[in-house]
Amino acid sequence: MKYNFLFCFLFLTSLISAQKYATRAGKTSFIGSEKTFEQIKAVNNVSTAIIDSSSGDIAILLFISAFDFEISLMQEHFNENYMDSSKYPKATFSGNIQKLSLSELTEYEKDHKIIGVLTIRGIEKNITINSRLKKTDNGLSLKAGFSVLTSDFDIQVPKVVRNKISKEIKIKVDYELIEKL
Amino acid sequence: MSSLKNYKWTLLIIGCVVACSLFLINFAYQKEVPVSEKKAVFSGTVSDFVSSKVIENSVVILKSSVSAVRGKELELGGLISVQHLESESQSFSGINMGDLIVVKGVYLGYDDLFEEYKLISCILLDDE
Repeated sequence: MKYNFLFCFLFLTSLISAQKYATRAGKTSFIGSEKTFEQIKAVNNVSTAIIDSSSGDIAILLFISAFDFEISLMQEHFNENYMDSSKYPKATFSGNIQKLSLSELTEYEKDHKIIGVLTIRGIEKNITINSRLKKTDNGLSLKAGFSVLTSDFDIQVPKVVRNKISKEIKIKVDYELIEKL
Repeated sequence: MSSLKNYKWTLLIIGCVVACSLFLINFAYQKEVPVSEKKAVFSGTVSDFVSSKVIENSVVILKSSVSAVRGKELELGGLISVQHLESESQSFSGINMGDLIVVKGVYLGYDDLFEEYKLISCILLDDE
């Protein structure tokens, strides 16, 4: 009886853990410039994300200072003048992938809406993201693209560079999530 | 005589403009100092690191045994996620669980999702 209970507990634990997919090296990139000589773009290759495939819940966390720019001076301005990354070091997203069914996912991308809350600079904003999900050898692949307004997150852009920095920032995510054990 | 003087002045002004432009371009496009050349604000073990309040984006040196190997990433002391610096073409491919290593990297902060401290742009140092 005791062993049966232990077996059931272990089985259920493995079942629950098998329903979660995670990454510590998600790629999040953005383009934030108008047509300028030097494009304002950066990539964060250490974004973390967890998807619970049974409920469709998704959580993403990234460190603002981990955005890598080609020009280090641009990176410095981004962290100190616009994002205030010492005060607001993280950006998070918490939401739900609508109508997610693991059994229906194949190696071909399928469109899914994600509804959730994006938090940047401590300001929360409800957003809907169009994403593409597919099964991979090790887990899931999640790709999505969406835009946010700088004004929604109280990002102050000085007049001098106002015509260079776009009011709408285009964000892309590309995550390879593996089954979390 | 006066045209020669004007010519000299023009040349001097052009020279100054070129020098200033070069300085500005060099300043704007300067490369970030590599982690290997940055000064570490902390050096010690994982437990010392956790108990000390190291501020985010500081360079730290940690000596610890590897508690997990996850592809391009290592875990130290079950608490710290270490990701290597691709630009320095140094990977963690030869490292196994239980190995004692010394790494230098940038401390990003505490990751609430995975409940671990995060170190990026890490390089391996020789144990002295």
